[in-house]
Amino acid sequence: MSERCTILVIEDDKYIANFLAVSLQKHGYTVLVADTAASGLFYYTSNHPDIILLDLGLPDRDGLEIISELRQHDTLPILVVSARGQEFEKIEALDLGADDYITKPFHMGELLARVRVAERSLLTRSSPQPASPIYRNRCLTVDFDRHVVQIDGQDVHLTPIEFKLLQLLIKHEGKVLTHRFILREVWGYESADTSNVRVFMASLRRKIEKNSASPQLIVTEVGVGYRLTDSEPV
Amino acid sequence: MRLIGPGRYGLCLLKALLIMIASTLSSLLVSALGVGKESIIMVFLLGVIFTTVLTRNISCGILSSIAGLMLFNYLFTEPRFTFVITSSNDIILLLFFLITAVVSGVITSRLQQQMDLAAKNARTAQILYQIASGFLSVSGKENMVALAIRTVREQAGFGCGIVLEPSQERYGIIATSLNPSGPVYAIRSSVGQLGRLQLYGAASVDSQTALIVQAVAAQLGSALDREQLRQEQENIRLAMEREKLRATLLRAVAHDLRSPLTALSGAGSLLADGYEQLSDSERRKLASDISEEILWLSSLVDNILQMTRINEANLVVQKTAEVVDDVVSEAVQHMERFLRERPFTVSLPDEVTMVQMDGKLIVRVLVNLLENAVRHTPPGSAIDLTARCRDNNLEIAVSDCGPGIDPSIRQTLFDRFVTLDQGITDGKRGIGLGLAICKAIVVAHGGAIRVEPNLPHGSRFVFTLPKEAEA
Repeated sequence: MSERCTILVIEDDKYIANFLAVSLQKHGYTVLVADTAASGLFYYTSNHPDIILLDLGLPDRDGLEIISELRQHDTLPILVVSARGQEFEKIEALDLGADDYITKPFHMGELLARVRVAERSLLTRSSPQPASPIYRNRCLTVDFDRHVVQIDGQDVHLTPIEFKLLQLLIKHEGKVLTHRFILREVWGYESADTSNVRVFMASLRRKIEKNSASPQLIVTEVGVGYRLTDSEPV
Repeated sequence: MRLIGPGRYGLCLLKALLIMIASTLSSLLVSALGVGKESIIMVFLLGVIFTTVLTRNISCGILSSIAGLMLFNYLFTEPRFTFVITSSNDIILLLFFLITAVVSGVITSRLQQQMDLAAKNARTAQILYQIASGFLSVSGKENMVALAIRTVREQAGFGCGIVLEPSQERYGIIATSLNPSGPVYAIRSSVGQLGRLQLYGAASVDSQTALIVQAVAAQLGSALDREQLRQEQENIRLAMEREKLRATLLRAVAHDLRSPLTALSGAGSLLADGYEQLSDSERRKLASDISEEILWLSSLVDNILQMTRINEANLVVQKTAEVVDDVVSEAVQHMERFLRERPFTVSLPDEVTMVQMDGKLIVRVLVNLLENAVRHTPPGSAIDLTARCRDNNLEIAVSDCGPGIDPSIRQTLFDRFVTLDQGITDGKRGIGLGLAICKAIVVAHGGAIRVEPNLPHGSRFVFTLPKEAEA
């Protein structure tokens, strides 16, 4: 990719900000660094970044407020990078509209992969192509027209709900989907009891993963939700 | 002084009358045998003393001595069968009889009263002793108050209610129209008034009952005082233990942080200062060392945080239904970097199983067990994780093929700060928190954790979680 996007990093820890900026620049992104919420919002309005990396614990405001403020008029990908590791905090940020959540300490490779996912979703958003009827990810092949799922060329039988789940995951490939979001999208109702989602997800995973203890396709974020791994090899 | 009703007084008189008749008859019998009247009068004296003893009433005694005098006068003094006395000897005899009878009656009655009092005192003392010793063996505020109420009811015969002062907690009965409120007694201790004891069912009570109730109140006061002291002492002991634990933890953490930090700063400054002099592979090695050290550091920080959460009063477990697969895979993912170079196998239950648990904490248990398995076994040896359902439990076992567990620490394995070679502080890393955390978490879930040897060699850590949430 010749022209990569602009990333706004809102982070008050200067060491983290520095190594984020350096590594992102090394990978060809244009990087803006803001150390407060106020300056972050200023950069946002003046420079129109494509992606935002947001720390929640900022000196002047809570990052969650920024998410809800930005979401009122913009759909740009927001990746939360935070030391707040409790599940409910992740869920809160994701439900407010954050696209992804990365907990400190993190692996730079991991962060870059998430940024790539965001970047790709940006591309498909700007130039919507007709959805390909065939989806490939590692050993998994899904033919949406014929409703056929194959692992290494072998047909796998999925129940309608499992198929819908898989479809949803593919649509949001690389993104964490909270249990509540999945429940709403697949079952069509909201509830605090999300055990349905877990059971169906576990059985789906047993069907499409070669080793369900170390899954390659569907990754669990315990207490938060699920993510379909990026089809682009990292 | 005992109150005597009219019926009771009549009984006394009847007794006196019977004794008088008996002594008259026996004196007549004795006189028929030819005994002199000076001796016969002794029979009457005996009768008077008997009357005093049996009726326990001094007025009956006096009455019977007068009656005895009359009878003797009528029956035995010359001229007989009249109340006339002619001989001055007889007058003196009768006078002395009267004095002796009254004095002996009074003395006997006084003696009896004192004996009664002594017996009563002995009983009271016994009751007081029972009260005091009863409170000795009781602990807990509720039990103490309940014992006080029971004692008052049994020993004094009254119902009572107790109000504890600072908290205004109420125990026992409350006033009703059938149970008019009676006297109030303060429950005191060395620090001041602790509450009030209110009697019900009587407007006033006699001194004996009051004594008992007061004793109960006093004993309750001192027992509550003792309880409070014990509580404070217990709190202090716990605080001290916590403080000691914190100090040990801090020392261990400081020590364990120092060596990786030294390595980190060394590698970092080497990279920054001597970048040009280093070969490409050396630089790469240093950088990967740094990131490995940091991973270890962050797992240490995780453990410490987890430990402080556990130490804060009681561990609060937030159980939700989790699929076993999810939890296991999360833990395995976490450890992937270390498990990649080893033969590592996982088996899961045949059915998709859901168990009530705090997912994050159980992941921590698994990670700690896997980490131990990796750290304490030679590189390249196999590790296995098996989860299965057994009875109503989920059983998860982490087995390794390492050297097994040193017998010297097998007993204390799950205690805090247990590491092999505690003497050698610069030996293998680990501050011995991992298994203590595992145990705390598993126990908080209502499960159990144990270690057993893995055949032919190695060890197997097994923990169970109840499948159904406890009611």
